[in-house]
Amino acid sequence: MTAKPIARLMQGDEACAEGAIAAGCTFFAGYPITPATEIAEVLARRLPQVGGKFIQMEDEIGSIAAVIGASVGGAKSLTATSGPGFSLMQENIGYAVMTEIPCVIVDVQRLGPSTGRPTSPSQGDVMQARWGTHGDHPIIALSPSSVRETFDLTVRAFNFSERYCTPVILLLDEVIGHTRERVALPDYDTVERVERTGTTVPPEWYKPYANFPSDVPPLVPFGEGYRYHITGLHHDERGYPTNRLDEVQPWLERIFRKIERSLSDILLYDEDGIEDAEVVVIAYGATARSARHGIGMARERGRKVGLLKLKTIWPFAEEVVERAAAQARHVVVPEMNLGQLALEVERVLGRDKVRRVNRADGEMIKPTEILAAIEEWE
Amino acid sequence: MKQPRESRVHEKYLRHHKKFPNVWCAGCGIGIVLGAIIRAVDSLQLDKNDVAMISGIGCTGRMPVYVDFNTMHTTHGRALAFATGLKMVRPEMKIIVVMGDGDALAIGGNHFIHAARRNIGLTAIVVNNSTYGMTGGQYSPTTPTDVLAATAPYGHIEQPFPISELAVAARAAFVARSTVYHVKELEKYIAQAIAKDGFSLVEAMSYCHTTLGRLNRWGTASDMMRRLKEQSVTHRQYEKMSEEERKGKLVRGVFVDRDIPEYTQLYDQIIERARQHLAGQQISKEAAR
Amino acid sequence: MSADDSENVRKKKRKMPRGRVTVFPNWCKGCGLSVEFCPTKVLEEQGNGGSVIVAHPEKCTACRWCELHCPDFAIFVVDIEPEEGTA
Repeated sequence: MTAKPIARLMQGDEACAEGAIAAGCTFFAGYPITPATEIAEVLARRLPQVGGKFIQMEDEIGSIAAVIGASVGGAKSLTATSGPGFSLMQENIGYAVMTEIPCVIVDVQRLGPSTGRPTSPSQGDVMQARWGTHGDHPIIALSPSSVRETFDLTVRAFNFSERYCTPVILLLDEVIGHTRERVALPDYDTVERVERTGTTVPPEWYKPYANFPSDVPPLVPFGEGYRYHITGLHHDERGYPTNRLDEVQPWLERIFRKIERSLSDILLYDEDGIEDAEVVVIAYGATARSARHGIGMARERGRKVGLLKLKTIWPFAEEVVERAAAQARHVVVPEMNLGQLALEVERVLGRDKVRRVNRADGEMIKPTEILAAIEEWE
Repeated sequence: MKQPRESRVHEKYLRHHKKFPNVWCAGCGIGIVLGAIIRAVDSLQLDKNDVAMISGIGCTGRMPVYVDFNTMHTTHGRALAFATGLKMVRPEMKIIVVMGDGDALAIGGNHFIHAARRNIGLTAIVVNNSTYGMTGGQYSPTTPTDVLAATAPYGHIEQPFPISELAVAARAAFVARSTVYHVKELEKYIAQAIAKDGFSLVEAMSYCHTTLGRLNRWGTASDMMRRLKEQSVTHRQYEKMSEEERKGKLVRGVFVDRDIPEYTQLYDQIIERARQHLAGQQISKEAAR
Repeated sequence: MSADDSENVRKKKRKMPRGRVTVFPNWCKGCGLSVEFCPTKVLEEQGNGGSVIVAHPEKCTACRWCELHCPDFAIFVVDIEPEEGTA
């Protein structure tokens, strides 16, 4: 494993690829799509260097399917795409949720909808990350706001995915993906890697969806002596299809509980100046950088403004948001969309307390636009 | 004179905790294909831990749960793509991918073509009953022209796909077709396909007497089984037939059996190349200091 | 000796392969394939859609058409000592 002790200029996409390598990813399947193609190209070069495997599939649906298949074989697996490809992947993402197979899906968000503008950023896939696949299901989604953070959150994404046996979505945007920043990555040997829990019983006694530590199924990779069945149908402890209410209902409860009981681990965020803030800005992704500048300008004018930067987008950090906004007069939610995470903030804090700053035209939100929202209510 | 076979070999491979009789209609050919697969695996003396069976959606998709291998029931049309990922990271496994004609050739057509083109080491078994049975007998890419189907109440106007010929054109290493009547031949082709390193396809012709068969009044399972027997001929027989005699006939046999490099073996060479490249880079860095 | 007599002698000396057929009634769906295709009509349907029965066990020649074609693995054949007798 080659470490990268020297600082160099790197794109977010490349940092994502390196984060995957550092996390122990050994399989990538993907399809070329702007602005995520670089992740595939870097991994095409880097994965075989570390004994991993890369394949360019015939489409995005095949890509996510291959990723899930490889994960069943025991490999930490990644795919990367943008809006149109993310839309195609939804069915199989649901399959991974249902079957509790770890995998990481990177969506480098472009301006949508549809083909949109591939070389412009947006945060328009936030709700899709939550509800893109059909049926009631939980999901974990993370969003970095710098190249270095992309490396770190990619590692986190793999670790959450393995620890909770769930697909994890990493929401980049075109700006973070394509911007070059100077980063000094850590020695990969120092990066924390989480492995699947596995089982503690012999094969004859093995039930893939039972005997849970922390509600997480003890899934063992294929080919290691434990033979079992995986299906997207509702299933019992052995993985066999079932219609029984006394098997389906407990499964539903466990799937959600699996994530909810571990929020203290999963919810990642940064707070700055929240304690005595009169106004709190809640931001994520590239927009968090605009927010920082806007807040800086407001503070220079003597305003007490705090920043809550969310790195975990889903599950939504309800209590964190409530606490941060408790003593504030109002909250500003800037997003490169027409209000998606704002819907969650409004649900939790009430619409009157929330001021949205939106654009969905492919341009980043300007710090002055955020400043105006901070000041407008004063 | 053939050796008497050990009886009840199937029971060594069926999952004991699974409810029997199986879910398929009485007389369905899918159970017959499963039997042929089991006997083929047994004849190859494979370790169950090394065998995976992956399916798509449909009646054929219900096959893997019954058998004591590493099994996966995936999404409609995508079984070959799931299998590709598993094969890449577990190249030593024998991966059997079972699909119906609709699953493999309609929604799954793209993955079918590319899995064959890559020559990735998978054994695809397509149970071709010329319809979407589970949903009630709609037309599929292999439904013959002019027949009635649930979504062709006035008669079918499309041409059917020749699955085996398609796989040959897509560069598969081994392609064979047989029927659920000709079980011993079917079992032999399946064993050959599994033993083959590259992408192998066995097209198992079957029937659906409960949906398409009923719509077209083709009779009982036995009637449709008899039709399969009468309509299928070997390559040699087909060659000797006139244009008129050939109408409606199904050709059984091996269409292609070629030795071409298998995908995961080729990728091992890529890993070797990448490692050498990396080592070369590191040597240059050392030299530059 | 007439032509018929020598026929009978030949038949008597030929050893016919024989099999013992067993049906698992819980697994048999009565689809009728084994009944229709058995070359010696060993099996019969019961007429109520239930399991088939081994009506003429002595006629089984262990061809295994039934065992190899049963979609439900509900029938199997064991080889037993070949006997002299008519086919």
